[in-house]
Amino acid sequence: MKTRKQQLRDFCPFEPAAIALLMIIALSESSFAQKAPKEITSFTPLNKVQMPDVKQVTLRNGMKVYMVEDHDYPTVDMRAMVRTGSIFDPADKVGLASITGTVLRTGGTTTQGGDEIDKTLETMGAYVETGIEQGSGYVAMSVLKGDVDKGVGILADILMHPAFAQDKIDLAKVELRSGISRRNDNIWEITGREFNSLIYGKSHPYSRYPEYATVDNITRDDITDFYEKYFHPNNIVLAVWGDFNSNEIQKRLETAFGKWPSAKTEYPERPQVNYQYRYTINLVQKPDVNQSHIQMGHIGGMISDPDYPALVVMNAILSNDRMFKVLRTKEGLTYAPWGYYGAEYNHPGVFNCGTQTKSQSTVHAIRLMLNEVNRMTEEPVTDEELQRAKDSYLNSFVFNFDSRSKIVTRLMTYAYYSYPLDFIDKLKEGVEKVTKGDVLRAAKAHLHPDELQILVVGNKNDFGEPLSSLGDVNEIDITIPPPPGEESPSAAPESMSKGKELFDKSMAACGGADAFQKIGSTRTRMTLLQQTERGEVEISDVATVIYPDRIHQAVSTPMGEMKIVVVGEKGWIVSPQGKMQMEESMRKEVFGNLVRDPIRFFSHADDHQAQFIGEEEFQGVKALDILVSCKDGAFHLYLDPSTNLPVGVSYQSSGLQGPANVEEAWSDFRETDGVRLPFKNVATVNGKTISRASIVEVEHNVEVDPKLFEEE
Amino acid sequence: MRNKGFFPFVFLLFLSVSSFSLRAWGQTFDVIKSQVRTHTLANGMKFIVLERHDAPVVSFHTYADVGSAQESYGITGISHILEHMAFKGTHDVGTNNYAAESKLLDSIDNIYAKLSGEERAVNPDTAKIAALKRKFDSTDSTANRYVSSMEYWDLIREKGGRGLNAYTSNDATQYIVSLPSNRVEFWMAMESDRFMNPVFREFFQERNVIMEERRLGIETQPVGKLIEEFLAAAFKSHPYHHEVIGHMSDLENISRTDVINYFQRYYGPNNLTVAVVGDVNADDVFRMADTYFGRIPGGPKPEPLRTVEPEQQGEKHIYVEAQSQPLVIVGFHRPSVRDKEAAALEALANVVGNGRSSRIYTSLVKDKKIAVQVGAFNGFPGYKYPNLLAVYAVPSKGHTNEECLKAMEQELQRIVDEPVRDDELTKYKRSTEKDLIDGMKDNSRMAASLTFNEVVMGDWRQTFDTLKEVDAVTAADVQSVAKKYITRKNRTIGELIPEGQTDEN
Repeated sequence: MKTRKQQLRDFCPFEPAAIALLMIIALSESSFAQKAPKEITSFTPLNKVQMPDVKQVTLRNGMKVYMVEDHDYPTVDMRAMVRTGSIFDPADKVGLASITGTVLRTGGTTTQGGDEIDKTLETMGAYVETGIEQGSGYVAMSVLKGDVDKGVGILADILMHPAFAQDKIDLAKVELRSGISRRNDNIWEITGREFNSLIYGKSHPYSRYPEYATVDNITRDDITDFYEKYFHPNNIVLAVWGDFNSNEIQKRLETAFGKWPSAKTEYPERPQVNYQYRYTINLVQKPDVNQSHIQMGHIGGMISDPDYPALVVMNAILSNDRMFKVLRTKEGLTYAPWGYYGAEYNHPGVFNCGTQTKSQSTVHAIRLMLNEVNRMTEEPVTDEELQRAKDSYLNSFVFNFDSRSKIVTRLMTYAYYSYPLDFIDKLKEGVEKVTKGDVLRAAKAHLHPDELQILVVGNKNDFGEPLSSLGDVNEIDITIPPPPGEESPSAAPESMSKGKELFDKSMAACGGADAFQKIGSTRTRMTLLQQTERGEVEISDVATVIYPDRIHQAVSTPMGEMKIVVVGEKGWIVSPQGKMQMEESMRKEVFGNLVRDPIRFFSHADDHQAQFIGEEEFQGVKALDILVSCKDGAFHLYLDPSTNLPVGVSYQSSGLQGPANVEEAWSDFRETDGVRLPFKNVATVNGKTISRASIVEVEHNVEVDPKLFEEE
Repeated sequence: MRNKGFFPFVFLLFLSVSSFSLRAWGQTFDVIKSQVRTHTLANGMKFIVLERHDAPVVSFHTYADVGSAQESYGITGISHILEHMAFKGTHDVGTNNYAAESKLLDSIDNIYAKLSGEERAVNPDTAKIAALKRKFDSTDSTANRYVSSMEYWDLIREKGGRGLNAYTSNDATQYIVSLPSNRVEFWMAMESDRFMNPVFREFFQERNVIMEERRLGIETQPVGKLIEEFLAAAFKSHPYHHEVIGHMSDLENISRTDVINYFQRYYGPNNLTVAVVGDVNADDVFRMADTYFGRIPGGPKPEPLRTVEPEQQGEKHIYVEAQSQPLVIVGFHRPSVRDKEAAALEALANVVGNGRSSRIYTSLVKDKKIAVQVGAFNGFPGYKYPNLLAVYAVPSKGHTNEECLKAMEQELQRIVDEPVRDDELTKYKRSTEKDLIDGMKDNSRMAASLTFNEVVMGDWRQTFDTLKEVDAVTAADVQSVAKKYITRKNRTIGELIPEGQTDEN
């Protein structure tokens, strides 16, 4: 149908009656004549936002409070941010902050049990919740106005006198362990987690996840210590909004928290992010799905970056005008595509593009997305795109002020991160000024289209075009490490006894228990041909080992010399630049080499379990696969079925290029001091050789200078 | 999820639109209630307006009284397809030459009809199919030259629209957006055009998008698969039987012509209800509604659904095997939300499974530690027709569905055997009241409540008046509905079990 205006235009315009009719209609309907959507381009000025008074006070004990009265509804709400976070979890106790945050609320207080608090709150239709997230803790309360005293009382009691009841600690651990057991059930969760790990690194505080072992390590003392370290009023910023009088609520807060003294917290250093830009293709093989989840990106930036307003505009264009239009509307490939340069308040976020598409179109979708990222850095956005993105931001800016809770919690957030309280206005001014040139410059400066890390979670058997057409594929194993002491929860007793039998046979084939137990230390000279970004590099290495837990490697490379030392739980590196402590992930990698050393596992056979997995193909030939584990880790050991010699191992490595499944093929067995061991070791990842090692000389029970293992 | 801002999944699992109650704050609500105004256009379309001048913004909510429950075999998923197509524009929006485009769209429909007929013939002629496909592709790509892709979205975006979205449920299709409050007429022009002159362009691409949505929400989601199988078992006759997203084979075959016919049947103005909440003048809204929406010709109201789910004849138990940890859900048939027992059933679900002090949370999570998550809710999968009261448990590591089911049965039996406690009833009443107040603070949630109550409950006032029914619920009422509905014969059990473990269950 046509609009009325168009119908009128169809009238013969020269007929006087028609002109008269047109004028009458135009006059009588001047204020509300129908218009087509695109004809409506000017608007009456928007009514002014009535900014509420925000009262800002600091309580005597240092707690910062922002209050806004809102008398429309009979409720009172509070939300606080607490200066703490799971980034402060010790590496071997990941999950500590999470449990502390949960049990703070569920574990009750010294005077009322957690279950009692549940009941009191729920019969008031109220809630009080606490939790600790990656970079902050939170406390929230919501009550009907008449219950505000009770609510604040409970909130204060929980914050000041938590009981951390053991039973609720146990419950929180059950929840965490169950979460671990379920973390591979949902493809979204797998994709988000593994992508985050690719960007920040597997055990980095911004991308680590609790494991059974780390949860088991957490004790009630750890929890109370964590609480006592961080939960002080001077570490808290509180936002309050609702139906109250600000002076009264301030008095209530002073009374409730008056006896809570301030205290100084020695904060650990914030985790550093040292990102290496690189192009990688990664796959999590999931045979039970018919749709791939794809994410690609690299490290992102900070909200405080001067380019942030230009990046806000770029994000809107990249997501809405590019990814959505191309992948969804035009190609019908996906339901939800996005492209987003992520920024955080106090550490680099993640530049992240993603989508989901049927298995067959996986590679096609990736190419389209890569193209859009690239285009962003190569040509300016169009005038229409720029205008629309800015109009959208500026015209919807009023929604930042459409509720009191938004206004006051934003102030709290800015205060927590020490941002200017008018940051949002500054951002708006910035967006107003953004030009096409700014967007292109920001895209060129912040996006690295040739160095994206690509992750696919899907069924590679159904990809139309193989993923390898994009480059070498690193397959990520997401097997959940079993709980300590339950290394093989499903292992039948037969597979354990068969495993032990084969392990012993292999030990006999290599020289027997007695020969191995005589070895207390070794010094091995070897040469390594290592694949690096600069091609193959020759390295010579003298490794000195004192079993079971000390290894010293003197490495010389064309780039210089280095000493790599691990003594049990500690590790360090000495390079021409000086000495530095090893990150835990690297220490584990180095220690892993020792764990997989046949002398160690054969000489300490009693500390190891072996489970027979089955007859498997290893490096193209049949081998007997046994899963060998000890308290320091686990790996697959492959035996030649005729000789029982160990022909190699496979294991999960969290290497520098991200996690990978590594296979080492062992060959060239030679006898030294009664033990027969491989002198050649070729390591491969997904069939691609990454290093070849040859032993030049091995000496056993050597004299070791104790200084090698001492930190100066 | 990071992809905020797109359509939400249509089949929000465990979505619970709680029916509202009210007690101690009657005054506040009386004030709000007295400010609500309504207007019915000559063509039968209804407008509900609540003026709120706190901030210069306004939320619009268009409620089409059609959902997947209106779908029959062969066209499952079509309500949701239509929802997607309603963003493709009109004669004016989304095209650079409608006259030319329109002819091509007609011929695409003709080619598609021939093609799909031939493909499903007993002896398909492959040469003919190939020729038709070529013709189809070339016509489609010519038609696409006239498309201004996503112009509908772009117009709303640049005007400062927030939360532009739509969602299809078993009961309804709802279109929402919020705008700065000086853009009311713009919305009137857009929304009336949308339902007066829609053009379902880029149809076949969008059908592919929806198939991806089905893979995303059901086929790659163990819990999604369970829900689909569970509802199919619980409802053998009523169309709550099938998921909103529809069967894959139907999605592969629904045509543009099917969607046009469906639109003509269910999108007449007397089947649409709009709520406008925010910084507006009600009289202006009504005047503009007459001007813009009054143009849409009226017609007969669609005939109500005939099929009623017959009484269940015995317990049903289904299993879904997937690469997943276990989960168990139990559903009991119950009457529609309009039934007088609805409030007592809400109380029952609240006492059994809402909150940390509820019966099954206390037993399964806190005491026995055999589950990490439990819940109870009504309105599964919809509210309008007789539906299910469901309880579910997510077993903790090392524990089984069987243990959880047994513990839930014990708690449900207690609800049947003994009256609930006073403090439990208080908890139900106060938490319902608090939810109601919190829901009213937000313009867009308020607009959703007003349309839901007007259409499904028969009167928008029910948004505020359910209070009386909630407040009147007694322990005897709860026990009475428990006795009536919590029976073995009336229940359906659904279990998600880790692949390969069927034999052990």
